[in-house]
Order: sequence, then structure tokens, then C-alpha cells
Amino acid sequence: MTTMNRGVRALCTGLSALLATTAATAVAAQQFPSEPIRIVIGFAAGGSTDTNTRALAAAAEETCGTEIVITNQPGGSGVIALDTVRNSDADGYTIATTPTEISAVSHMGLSDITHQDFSAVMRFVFDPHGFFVTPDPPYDSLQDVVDAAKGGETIRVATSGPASPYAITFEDMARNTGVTGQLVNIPYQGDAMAIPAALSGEVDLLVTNASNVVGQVAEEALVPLGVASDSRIAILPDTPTLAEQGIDVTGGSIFGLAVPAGTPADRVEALNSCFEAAFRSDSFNAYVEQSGVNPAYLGAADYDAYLAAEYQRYGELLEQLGLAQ
Amino acid sequence: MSGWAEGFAVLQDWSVLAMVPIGVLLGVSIGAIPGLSATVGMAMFLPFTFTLDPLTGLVLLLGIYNGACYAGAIPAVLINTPGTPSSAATTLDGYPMAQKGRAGEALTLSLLASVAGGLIGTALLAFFAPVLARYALSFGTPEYFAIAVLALTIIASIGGGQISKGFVAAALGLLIASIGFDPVAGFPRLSFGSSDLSGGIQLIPLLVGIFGMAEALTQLERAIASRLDRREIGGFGIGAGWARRLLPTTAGASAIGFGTGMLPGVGGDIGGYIAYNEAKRFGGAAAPFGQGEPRGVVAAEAANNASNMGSLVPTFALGIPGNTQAAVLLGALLIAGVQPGPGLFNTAPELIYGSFLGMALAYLCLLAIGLLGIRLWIRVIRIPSVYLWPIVILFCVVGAYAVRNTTFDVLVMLLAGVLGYLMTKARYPVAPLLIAVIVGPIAEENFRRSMILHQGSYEWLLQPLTASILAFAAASLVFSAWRHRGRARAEREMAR
Amino acid sequence: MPSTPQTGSVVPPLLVILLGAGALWAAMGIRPGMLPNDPGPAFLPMAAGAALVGLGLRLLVAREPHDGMPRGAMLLRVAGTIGLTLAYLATLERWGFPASTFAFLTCQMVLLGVRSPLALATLPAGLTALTYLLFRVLLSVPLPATRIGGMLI
Repeated sequence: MTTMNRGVRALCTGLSALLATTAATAVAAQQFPSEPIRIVIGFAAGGSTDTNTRALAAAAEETCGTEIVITNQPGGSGVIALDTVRNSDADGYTIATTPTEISAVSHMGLSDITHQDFSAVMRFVFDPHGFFVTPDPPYDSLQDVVDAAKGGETIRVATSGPASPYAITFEDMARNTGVTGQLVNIPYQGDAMAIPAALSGEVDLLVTNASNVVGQVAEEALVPLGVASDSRIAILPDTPTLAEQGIDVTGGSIFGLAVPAGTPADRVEALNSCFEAAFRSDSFNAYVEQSGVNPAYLGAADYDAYLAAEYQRYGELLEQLGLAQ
Repeated sequence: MSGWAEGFAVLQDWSVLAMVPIGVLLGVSIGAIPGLSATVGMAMFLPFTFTLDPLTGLVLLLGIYNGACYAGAIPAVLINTPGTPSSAATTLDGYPMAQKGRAGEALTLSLLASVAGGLIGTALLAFFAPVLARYALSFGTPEYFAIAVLALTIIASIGGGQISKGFVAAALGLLIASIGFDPVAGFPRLSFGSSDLSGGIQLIPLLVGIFGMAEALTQLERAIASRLDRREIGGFGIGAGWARRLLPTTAGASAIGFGTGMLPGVGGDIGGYIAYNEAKRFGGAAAPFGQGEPRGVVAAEAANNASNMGSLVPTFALGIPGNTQAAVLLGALLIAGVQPGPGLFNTAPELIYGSFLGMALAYLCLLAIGLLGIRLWIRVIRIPSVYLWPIVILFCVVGAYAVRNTTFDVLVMLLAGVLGYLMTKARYPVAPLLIAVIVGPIAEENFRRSMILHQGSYEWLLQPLTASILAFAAASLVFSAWRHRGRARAEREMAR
Repeated sequence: MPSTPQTGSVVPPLLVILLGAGALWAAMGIRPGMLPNDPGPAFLPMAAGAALVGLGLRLLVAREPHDGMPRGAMLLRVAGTIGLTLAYLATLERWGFPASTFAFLTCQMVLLGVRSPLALATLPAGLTALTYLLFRVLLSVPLPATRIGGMLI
């Protein structure tokens, strides 16, 4: 009978704890947010989306005054997580991270998800794509790569698959410089596999976010040839942009937050203001400083407009690259 | 060697030392619950480490990492359900041992093997990481394909019963692995327009279902409330004679586990299976592998813990995560302002050597916690079936749900449970299915990428390292077929 | 413990063949890859499907022994458990974790023949509260909540 007694005792403890929680919830039920907020991340734990979002969420628990629960639903270029959030209640308690792919997947026939299924909360990081080589081969600039390709050499480029943002940026670069046939897309399952391939010389050129390879660049194991941003970035101050090298291409990985379309405007606003406060907090700034990501804030309305413009841009680009369906 | 002194100095801080048992305890709790993996546990505590001093945070995460890797063995032995994917191979002999009334011994063995494998792995990591990392880089796409093929050949030896049934299970596993976005082109396949299916079948719900749920169904066939079924747990000690026989297995399995773990993307689950297979090969034809052979448990657990340490080689030496947990560690390192890479051993010796010492300490702490804990969690076996298995089902459901918070994953878990139950009834082995699910995508991706890299030519199969591994795989296949035939003949003669 | 082996059912091999054929048919509809020299996304499912058909044919000839399927009370317990688990996952998000877990545990214990009123009154409720505390509170796994009288548990 001892097991039974223990069971009863445990039950009493459990129930009293539950009652305490519910009482607290009932009092706070009037304001928003009064319940835990869930953020659904479309990529695995430990990836850049995951780390960036968790750093922001840790600060936002303070500024929003509620528990924030993180869920990882990796798969299908982030589409699975977006689908979950799209189908959840538009009450502001379920937030999606918006990957770059949100602007591309519907054009490529991979999903019917677009930015129109969501109402933007904010953008917090924009990490431009960079082009990297090992120090050994004779490439000092992107022009060298283009010249070699024009001379008939096959350049193998590591990306995360033909539908990935890296691949779109590099295809755009190849088209811009007229060497499409000579640059071969070698798809890897993410940076963790692509970076070793670049280090070992299995591929000639690596496209990735600059913040993913800061360590390798500092050790001179990888050399940056260019970044696809409008201006030079803080962690690679000596690396010219693609535009500076006469290649009119920009592209990067976008890290933002959005809620299902139809969420009440005051709730979107409440989320925006408390997440913006988290973005400006000391702890998130310390994270930015250390990790080398490129902070780039856009408010709710601006980010909505930005996503619409990106959707348009990717549509045209993918059409020209022959990747649209 | 001054790095060691610096590491030792920073470790003499109570706030750092206190994190060792905290981390290990957290890890053991997370690892022992099927469905909750070390990655999720570490990611959960990652933001917490932002507020800590770098080494303190790292030691906490490493404690979780080590604790969870060991604790996966506990439910593997007690209820035939690996707590983490790494312990999948532990079920092969751990659960049969428990069923034969040797649960106490199996738990002690898995603890000792985990600690030994972990310490051997830590030593290899601490002394050879920079050299080994360069070696790991020489494994390109073709070599990965060859390693995956080698892991697939285990199917022929692990199945028991008829080899073709093992291959059916494996083909089924490959089919399950095909569901979802394909790893090279990124197209959805076999998803039949369902958004849930296009995300693919997640490993953990499959694992929890095919082991835990299936076992629950099998056990509940006969569960009757009125009968109190007291199962024997046996003693906790292992004889001195056994210790000597187990040492070579431990050493060999640790080396295999560490070596496979060094390759990014190849985890402890694969290392455990490969080491198990080698232990079986060297164990002699008479050893009862698959029916409660202690060396099977030791090989699997020593290998997966050593593999965990191996995964840190590319992490520390190259800044490339060796597995998903290492990716979280890498995040913690970056946030601590440390750039992992070849120079890390010189730029931040106190952090690196402090972590190595912290890891060794975590394993010693795990030994103490484990020895104290075994007597506690073995009571699971004493819970009457009519209560135990409903609780197991409840944990299977929550575990499957916890991965991505979707009921789709719970459905996958249930269907995998029914599949596993029916396969056992029809005498099809389930381990090959699991191996195929884990290794199949690696084989496919690297085969296809090799073809793309070499512009459609098959020349890459003849590269020295690739060809040697493939030849070894072929030899291993022939060997197990030959041994299988011998055993079948012996059984026929016995029957006569 | 295993029941007496029975020889020669053709059902499992036939199912294997059917599954393999289905996989081959489904793999026909997969979009080809867009990278040059890529064997394509349909490569693996095709290979697996073909292997299943081949192996199924071989097993059809071999007629391997297998264990008997459960009958009577055993079948009821197995099928009942599957049904209850299915009902559990169907109600998990609708009723919330506490309510559906309580219902599942109670029904499952009754199915297995637990009749003691004390056990049925305390165990399902106690276990539900314990697992809720463990997962939701200690490990912050986001479990679906139950609303009781406007309050959120």
C-alpha cells in the first residue's frame, strides 16, 4: 500500500501547484500577453535561425513579461513550421520565424505558403551571403573566379540545395557574369556539411552567411571574396561587396518574426513593441557583438512591405533563372 | 602542457564545479525520457548560459550532453525503448538481459561502459583533436557513401532468423526514409500532397513507436490485473572474471565509436550499431548475441559515449558541429566570444582544457549518480504490468509530441508501434529497419552528390579510401552470410 | 512466452510485394531533379520498392514460420489499446493534455482489468498531474492546455 500512499501524496502536491498556476492566470487574463507565447522555428536546434531566435526570445521573456516557449519544427526549408503557424489561432500567441525561403517556395512549386499568410511582427537580423574560397587556389577576387570559368574551368560551388537562398544568390551571380554553365551547384545538407567540403577542397567556392565562418576566416582557413550586401559588413570590413566588384547582386538570410494573418492589430503592435525592446536590450546586443550576426531592424509595417517586395523580386529572379514552376 | 594547468586553475571555482552535477542530473533526466533528446535539453538551457561565465555555461551544457548520452540506456534496458537514438543498439542485448532477470547487471554494465567510453573519448579528444580533425577532413563525399554502405551491411548480421527478412525490414526503412523533401534536390516525394508527410518521418517518434509502443502492445496481450507479476532484477555486481573479458570490447568499441563520431553527420546511433556488429564478429559463433550477451550492451554503450566525444573533434578543432548537440555547444562558444578553429587551443587554452577537465569530471560525477540511481530506477520493473505499460504509452505519446509539438508525430509513433508489433509477430527483425532509416539518407545523399561532383562518372568508387571501405563492407557481408549458413546448418542438425 | 510457431502464411510476403509495387508506382510521379548528373529524387524509393517486390517473391516461396496472431481476450486488449491511443491523440489538442490524459489512463486501466475503486480514483489523476508537472513545468515542453470553467490549466 506504500505505493498508493505515495501516489496520493504526489497527487495533492500536483493539484495544489496546478491551482496556484491557474489562479495566477485568471488574474492576468485581461492584458496581452497573459499566456505563454510559442515561437515555432523552422530549422533544427543549434542552427543560426535557432540561436538568433533563442537569444532574442531570452531577452523578450523580460520585455514581454511572459514565458516564451520555443519549438523546433525543421523540414522542407522551414515550410513545415510556417504551415503550423499559418494554421494556428490568430491570437498572437503563436509566432513563426520567417526564413528567406518564404519569398521563394511558392514560386518554385514547393509549397503554397507566401508572406500573405502572415502578418509581420519585425525583422531583427539580415545576414548577407558571402563567397569564400580556401587560400590555396589562385583566386584573389570574384573576377578571378569568373575569368577561370570563362576560360573553360568548371567551378564547383557548395550550397544547401538548388532551392536554397545560397543557391539563388550564386545562380544570380553566375547569370550576371555570364558563366552559368561553368559554375556547378553542389548541394550539401546545411553549412555543417558544406564548410568541411570547402576546407578540404572538395568544392572550389562556398556560399554561406558570413557569420557562419567567422572562425575559419579569422584562422585564414577560408578567404572571403565578396559579400552580397549593399554595403560592407562589420565583421568583414576589408571584404568588398559584389557591387564594388561590378556584380549587381544582393542576397542574404533574413531572420524575422510573424504571426498568422488576421491577428488583431493591437496584438501585433504589442508584440512588436515588446520584441523591439528585446532587440534593443543589452543582452541581445551582447549576443550580436559576440556572434557576428548583422542586426537589421524593421518594424511591423516596414517588414510587411519588405516581404512583399522580396516576394516580387524572387518571383522575377527565379523566372529568369529557370527555377520557377 | 601549460594549457592543462590553466584549465585546472579556472576549474577550481565553486560556481563552475557546481554546474557539473547539475548538468549531469539534468542530462540524465532528459536522456532517460524517450522522446526528449540531449539537443532539445541543451538548446533549452542555451539562453540560460548567456548570463553565465563562458566556462560555467559550457560545463553545464557538457554535463547535459554526457548525462543524456548515458541515460538513454536506462529505458533501453528496462522497457526496450532507447531514451535517445544513440542507445538504439543497447536494446539488442540490454532488454533480453533484463527479461532474463539480469536487469541490475545490465544497468551496471551500461553505466560502466558509458563512463569508460566517455573517458577514453575525452582523452582522445584532449590529446589528438587537432591531428584527428585534419584526418576527418580527408573524408569527402565518396568516403561518406562508403561508410554508410558499411553501416548498412550490418543488417545482414544483426537480423537473426532469415537474412531476407532483415533485408525486407531494411527496404521498408529506406522507403520510410524517402518520405519528405529529398536531401539533394529539395523536392517533396511520397508525400501525396500532405504537408505533414512532406516534412518527412521524424526519427524519434519512429524510434519510440517501434520500440516502446510495440513492446507495450506485446506485453499487454498477457497483462492481467489480478496477477502480480514480480520480475527478477538480479544482482548489481559484475564478476571480476567478466571485467577482464569485457575490457577488450570496451576499448575496441570506444575506438570505433570515437572514429565514426568524428565524421560530421554520423552520430552515436550509427557508431553503436557498428561497434555492436564488430563485438559480435569477434565474440565467436557461440556467444549469445541478441539474447542477453553482456558484451553487446558494453559495446553499444562504450561506442555511443565515445562517439559523442568524437563529435566534438570537428567542433573544437574546426568550428564545424559534429552533430546537432555540438551545434548548440558551438553556439555557446560563439556567444562566449570564442571562435572555434585550429587556433583555439592556443587562443583560449583555459576554456578548452577547462572543458576537457570538466567533461572528465562530468563522467566521474555520472558514475557516482549512476551507481546511486540504478537502485532507484530499476524499480520501474517492479511496477505491475497493468500500470507500467499504460504509463509507458503515455510517455511514448508525450515524447513523440515533444519533438515538434504536432499530433502527426504521435500518429507516426502509434503506426510505428503497430508496425513493430506486427513485424515481431511475423518474425521480421526491426533493427535493420531502423539502421536503414538512419543510414539510408546518408548513403543516398552522398551517392548522388558523388555523381554530381564527378559529372556522372563512377570513377570515384575506385578512390583508395573509398574502395578500401567498400571492400571491407563486402567482406563483412560475405562473412556474416557464411556464419549465418553455418549457424542454420547447426540448428538443423540440433533439430534432427 | 512466444506462442507456438506457425508455418506458411502467405499474407506477410504478399503485403511486402504489394507495398513494393505501390512504392514503385508512387515513385513514378516524383519530379526529376534539376541538377546535371543527379540520379534524381526518385532513385531511392524506386530501389527500395524494387527490393521489396523481389524479396517478397523470395519469401513467398520460402514460407518462413511466424508466431500466431493474438485471439480472443488477447486480441481485444491489443486492439483496444491501439484504439484508445488513437482516441487519446485525437483528443489531445481538443481537450488539452490534462483532460485527455486522465481519460486515456482511466479507460486503459479499465480495459486491462483494473477494478479497484481506490486505484481508479487516484492513479489516473495523480499520474496526469505528475507528468504534467514533469513535462510542462520542469522541462517546459509545450503541452496543449485544458480550459476548465474559463481557467487555463
